Amino acid sequence: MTTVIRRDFILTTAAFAGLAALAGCSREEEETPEQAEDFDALAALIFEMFPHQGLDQSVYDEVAERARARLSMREGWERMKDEGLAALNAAAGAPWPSLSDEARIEATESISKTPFFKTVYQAALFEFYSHPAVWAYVGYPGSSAEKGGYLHRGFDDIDWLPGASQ
Amino acid sequence: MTVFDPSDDSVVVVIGSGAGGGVLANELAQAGVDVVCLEAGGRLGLSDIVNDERVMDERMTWHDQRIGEGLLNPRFPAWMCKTVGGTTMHWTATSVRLSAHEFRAKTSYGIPNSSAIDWPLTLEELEPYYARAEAKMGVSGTNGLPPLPMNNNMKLLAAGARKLGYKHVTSTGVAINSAPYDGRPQCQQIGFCKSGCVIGAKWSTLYTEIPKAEETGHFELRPNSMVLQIEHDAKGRVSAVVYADETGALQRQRARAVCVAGNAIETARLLLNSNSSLFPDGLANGAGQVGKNYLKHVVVGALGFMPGEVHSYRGAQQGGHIADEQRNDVSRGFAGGYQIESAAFSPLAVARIGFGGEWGAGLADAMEDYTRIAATFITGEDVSQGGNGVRLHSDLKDQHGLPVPIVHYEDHENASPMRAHASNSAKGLFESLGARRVVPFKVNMATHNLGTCRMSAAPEDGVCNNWGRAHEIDNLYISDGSQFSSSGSANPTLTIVALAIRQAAHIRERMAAGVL
Repeated sequence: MTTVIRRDFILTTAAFAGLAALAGCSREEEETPEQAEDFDALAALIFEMFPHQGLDQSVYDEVAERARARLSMREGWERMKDEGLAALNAAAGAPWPSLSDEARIEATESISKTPFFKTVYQAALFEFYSHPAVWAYVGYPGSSAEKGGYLHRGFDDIDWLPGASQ
Repeated sequence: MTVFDPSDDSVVVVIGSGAGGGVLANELAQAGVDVVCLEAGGRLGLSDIVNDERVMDERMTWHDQRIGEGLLNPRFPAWMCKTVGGTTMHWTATSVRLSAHEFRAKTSYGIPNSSAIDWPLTLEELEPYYARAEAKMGVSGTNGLPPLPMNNNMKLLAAGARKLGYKHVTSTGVAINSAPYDGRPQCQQIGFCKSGCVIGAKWSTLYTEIPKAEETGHFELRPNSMVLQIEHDAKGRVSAVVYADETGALQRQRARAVCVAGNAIETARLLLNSNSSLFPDGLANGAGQVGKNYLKHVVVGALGFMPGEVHSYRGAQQGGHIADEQRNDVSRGFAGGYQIESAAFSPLAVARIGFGGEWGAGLADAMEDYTRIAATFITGEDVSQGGNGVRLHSDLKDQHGLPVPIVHYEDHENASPMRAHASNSAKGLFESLGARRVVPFKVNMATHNLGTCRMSAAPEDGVCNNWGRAHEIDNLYISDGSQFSSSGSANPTLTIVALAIRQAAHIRERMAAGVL
C-alpha cells in the first residue's frame, strides 16, 4: 500500500477516535482490569482473523469496540466470552496474546470451530471490512459521489486487456 | 396534494410502490383513475441516499422477522426493501427481456419433479409492453440511448467473452441513463448502485413514477402504511384494506379494486393473512396455490484475481452482460439458460461471499488484492417446485401481531448441472485473461423473489389469470413478481414493469366497460 493511503487511513482513524470520544464511549474510563484484559484478547483474536500486517492496531481496537458493543447485546455473551477466552488460554498453555505468532495461530485454530469463535467472527467480519480505514488499506476509497463519481476519474482506464479498445 | 377519504370506495388501492406497484399506480393515475398507494416503508429523498451500502442497508432493507427453511438462512432476510420505491431503490438495473422459450417453461423444458407451467402469455403479447417499459425506464440501447459506457469490470468481462467466443456481449439493457433522459442526469459512474443512486441516474419509482403520479391529482401515496388485511364483501369481492399507519394505529381504506405488489413473500403472506369464513385458507387460495412455487434464480458468481488493476468499484455495479447462454440447449446438461453479468462487490461483500467463514493470512492476503479483483454474477432459470414457498408461522407474530412468514426453498435437480456449467464459464472468462485464481461465491441464491401467486391458464394451477387478476376474485390483482409463471433467466424488474403497464391498461378497459 502506498504512503498516501496510509495517511488517509490515519486521518480517518483519528476522525473515528474523535467521534468515539464525543459519544462518551472511551473505554479506558469505565473498565476494570479484567475487562481491559478481555478486550485486548478480543482485539488480538480479531487480528488473528484478519491479519493485515500494515494496518494500525488502533483499527483492530475500534473494530473490537464495535464488535463488543454488538455482541454484548446478545443473551449469554458474557459467559460465552469468558469460556471462549479461557479455552484459548488453555489451548495456548499461557496467556494467549503473549504468545509467538505461530503459537497464537495454532491456538486460534484449535477453537475455530466453537460457537464463541464463530460468533465473534460474524460480528467482527461485518465491522472490519466495512470500516473506512480497512477500505482505504485494501484500496477501496469509499463513497465517490461527492467527488463526482468515476466518469472522469478512471472508470474505464483498464489498460492491460488483450485487444481492449476505448 | 391529493387526499382521498378512507370511505371513498371508488379508489383503486395499490399495495407497494416498487417496480410493480409504483408503475401500476402511475399508469392508472395518468389515465385519470384515482389511486391510493400504501407503502410499508418511509419516503426518502435523493439527499437521504448515500453511496455506502452499510448505511443504506439500514435505511432501505426489509428487516422484519422471517424464518428460512431448506437451503435458506434460518434468519432469512430476502434483501427486499421497505421504502418508497421498493426494490427499485437497491436494484442494479439489469433490464433484459425474457426469451420466447422462457414463457413456456413446461413445454420448453419438460422437466420431471417440477410444478412448472407455461405462462398464459407469450413473448409476442408482452413485446409492446416491454418496449413501453424500456422507454419509461430509459434502458440503455433503446429509445435513442447509447449503450452504457463500459467500465473496467465490464470491459474485462467483454474481453474474456471474446476469448471464449461469446457473441452477445453488451452494455445495453441497463436502466441507468447512458445520456440525460426523462429529466434525470447521465450516469456519473459513482459505483455500488445497490445503495441507491445519489443522482437519480438509475431508474427508481421513487423519483419517476411516484412524483409523476402525484402531479396528476389522482394519486395519494401513504408511506409507513403496513397493510395487514384485505377485506371483502358478502359477494366475495374485495372491498377495503386494513393497515397500520406510522403511529401503529389501524386504518381502513375502502376500495373498488385492490392490487397487491408487496414482493413475492409479502404478497403471498398478505393473501394468506386475509382469511375469512368465505375464504378460510386465504384470499384467492381456493386452489391452494397462494405461496407455492416460490422461485429465485439459480445464482453462480466468481471472483477473478487478475494480473492487473481492475478497480471494479468504479462505475455502474452491473454495467452489462453476456446473453449467449440464455438459450435453451439441453446438450449442456440442463434445462433453461443463464445470464452472465458484470458485477462489483464492496470489500465486505467480497469477504462474505467469496471467503465467508475463512480467516487468517489467506483471507487477509486475498483481501489485499481487492483492486485486482474482477467479478461476475450469473443468474439462471429456476425450476418451479410446489414445495418451495411461503407459509405462516403457527404462533410467532411480528410487531403488528401478524404471523411471521416461513419461507422454504430447495434446489431443483436442474440447478446443480447448471451451476457447474456456469461456474466453468466464469472460470474460463477470467482464466482466459490470466487470472491467478478464481474463487466461486459461497452464496448461491439471488435476491429475486418470484412465483408465489403465479398466473396460470387453468385456475387450479395458479392464483391469477394472464392479466394478473385473481382467478377467484374479480377485483383483486397480483401486480408484482409473484405473478411469474416461471423465473426465466433474466433479472425480473423489466418484466414486472411491462406486466404492470399491461395490467393498468386492462384495468382501465374494464372500468370503461363498466365491469370493474
